[in-house]
Amino acid sequence: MDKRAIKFVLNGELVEIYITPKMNLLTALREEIGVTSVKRSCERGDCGACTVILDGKTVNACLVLAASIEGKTVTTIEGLGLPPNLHPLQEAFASLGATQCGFCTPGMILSAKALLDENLEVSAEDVKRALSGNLCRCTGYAKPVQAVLSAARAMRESASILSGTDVTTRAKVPVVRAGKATGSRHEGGE
Amino acid sequence: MGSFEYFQPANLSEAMDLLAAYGKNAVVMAGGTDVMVTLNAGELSANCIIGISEIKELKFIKEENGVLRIGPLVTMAEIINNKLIKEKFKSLWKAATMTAGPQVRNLGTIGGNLGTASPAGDLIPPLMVLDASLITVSKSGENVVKIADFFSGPKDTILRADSLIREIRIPFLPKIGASSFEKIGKRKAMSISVASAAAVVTASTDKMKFANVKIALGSLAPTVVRAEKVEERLRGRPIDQKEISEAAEMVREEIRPMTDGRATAWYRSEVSCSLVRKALWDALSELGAGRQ
Amino acid sequence: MKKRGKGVAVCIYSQTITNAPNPCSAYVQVKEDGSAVIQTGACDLGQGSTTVITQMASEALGIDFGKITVHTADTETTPFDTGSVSSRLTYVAGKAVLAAIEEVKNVLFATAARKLGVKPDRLICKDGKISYVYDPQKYMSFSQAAFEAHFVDRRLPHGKGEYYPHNIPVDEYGQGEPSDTYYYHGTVAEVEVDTETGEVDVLKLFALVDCGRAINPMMVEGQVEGGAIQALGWALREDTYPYCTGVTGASDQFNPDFRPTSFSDYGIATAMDMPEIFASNVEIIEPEGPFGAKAAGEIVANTGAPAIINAIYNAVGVRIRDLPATSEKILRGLKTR
Repeated sequence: MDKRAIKFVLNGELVEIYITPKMNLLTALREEIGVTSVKRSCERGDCGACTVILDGKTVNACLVLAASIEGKTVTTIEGLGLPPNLHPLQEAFASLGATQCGFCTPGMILSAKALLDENLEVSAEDVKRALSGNLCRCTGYAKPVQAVLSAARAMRESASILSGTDVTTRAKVPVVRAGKATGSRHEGGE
Repeated sequence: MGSFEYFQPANLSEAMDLLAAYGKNAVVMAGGTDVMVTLNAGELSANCIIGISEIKELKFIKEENGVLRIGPLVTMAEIINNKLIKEKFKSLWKAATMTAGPQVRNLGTIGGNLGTASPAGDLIPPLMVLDASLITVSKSGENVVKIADFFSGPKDTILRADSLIREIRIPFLPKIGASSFEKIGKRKAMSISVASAAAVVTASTDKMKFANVKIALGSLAPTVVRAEKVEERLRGRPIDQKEISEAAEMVREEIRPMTDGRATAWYRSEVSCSLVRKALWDALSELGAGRQ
Repeated sequence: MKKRGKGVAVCIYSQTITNAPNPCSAYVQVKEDGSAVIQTGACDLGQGSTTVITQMASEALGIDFGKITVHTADTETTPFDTGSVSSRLTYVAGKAVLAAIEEVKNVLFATAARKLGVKPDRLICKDGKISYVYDPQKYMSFSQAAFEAHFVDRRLPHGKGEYYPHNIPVDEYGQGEPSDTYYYHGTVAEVEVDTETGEVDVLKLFALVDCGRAINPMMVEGQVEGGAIQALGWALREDTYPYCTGVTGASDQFNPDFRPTSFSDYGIATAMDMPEIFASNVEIIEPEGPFGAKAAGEIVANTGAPAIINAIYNAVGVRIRDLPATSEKILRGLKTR
């Protein structure tokens, strides 16, 4: 099968890779570039583990033909931040226990990022809906939802203090709980 | 064997040429939410994919002379974000919100939903009750097809190998008209319909009687079907609980549900009445007519 | 019509592999600068064993979390662990690590005893210091003790520890000790059943685990929440081909639409299916456990399903006896009542 070159923007950088016509974006990212944060799971668009942001919208990378992304923009979790400069969402997921085995986490955070890019005034229902295409077995979604709400709050507070500046990497995430658990109630609100 | 090829026409005219040349061995791909599943599983029999997702002239939502005109490449997400569709074509809007999950909705298109023609395709019952018509196009010209005539069997349409859906047209409802959509699935998201119902209701000026009723049912027969007996039964009748419940019972005679991995025929038949009732009452409450 | 009901279920559960030897072991080294390295076969899959091991070591050595490095699950270099199964690691790895730390402390306390002129068994590790229990002003810094152990007292503060759970099989009189300890879990569920379609909406789940001392309360809560949702899926939706009991209600009837089950049909809960959850723990301290801890592993998925089934019965009087309690089974139950 003939390989051909395509160029696209990955996490802000122009990349060129060689792909075959049947290759999906998931395979192209993992095997041609080595971005293994995009996970291979069902390859049917049923689980969201391969979620990436393509031209501003979340999609399942397994449902996108690599040949079709010439000239487009792809964002994976690395594009949000790498330690020590983490995006508030990444900080929130890490510090609030919203990640256990971590397999669904990159995709889930990208879904949350796409949500917060459109709207920072999100309710728990908005968050659940935005995450509804990312299956998770470990967390029961409770702490991920809490983490997204926490990150949204941090980003709103930063934005109001320093409006006009890109503050996403400087927003500080409030730690909701320290020490002994008193139980958490995850209801409709925060 | 021949090697596999991917074409990405930039405009409709190129697409027409490609379809004329490769049509029989090609599969048209819009959002990819159906084609890619087959390809990933190694089960794609075609040796050519014609990817139409970049054809800008096929993506539009506009209002013209009392008709909503939608391009086939409009995604579920774009339908959901469109204020006009939410207000005036609630059935279509609601079905889009209840389909799959956010990622699939960003890719999946209305044209794709029609082309795949699954009896569980959630946009199809709304398009049926909204009396949509489709404009199909090939190198030899255009055709207008009423949606009721578009499907020839489960996952089968009258669309020829060299043709594409170019546009979907939906007439606006009369003032005293509203539409709705209900579905039963396994869970609250990412759920293929076990049974679904779309309804359009138009009422008399005093909102006390049904003027016209249209009901379409999904996943309850090999293709999406209209519940014509129920519609006939309700036309001109008073809007009240008794009338609706009695009419809804008749839906069992109009469906041919199957037993599959998701539900038995028995279950589908049992819940069909409840679905039809819910869809009717939902449309009525949009209208502000009747009291449950 | 929609009807609501509540149900409760509780369970007792064993931990560690009860019928076979299943040790864990650990090597602990305190370096000359007072930092510590732990090597153990215990594998963290995301359940948090590495975190709790670090916390326990930090507490036992009295040094900062950040000064401890843990190397795990390298079959070439780390000492044996049986596996991340049977809810065993907090307990078994914890005890192994603490045993290794006892050996380390013996060396460091000998150094501090010499330096401070006190008996070694009157010393404690806390806040980066080794202090005299009767006079906290009499202390030596942990890192200083480490350095002097290396180069003054000529003893390396290294330790090795292991732990084998008891595994005493039950005899003909029912006496034995297959599991070192038992832990407990309970759930209260509130559901709403649609009597026309049999669909069940889980409104609330209140779940509690007795994990002994919760070494990391946030992670215990995460476990309980995850288990609650797993139980919800198990109770109501999850089913595989080809037998698909959920559809026909018969467990031996071959499904006519056989194909391998995909995630679109298997039906694990999505974020939108998450009900209101209250998840927490109680602490019945286990004297034999590391810092009194037991476990918070598999048990968390155990009582959600029976609680939901009981709630369905409470709501509409339909008793489901095989899972999943699909809307079809409930509707059949309602029609035949």
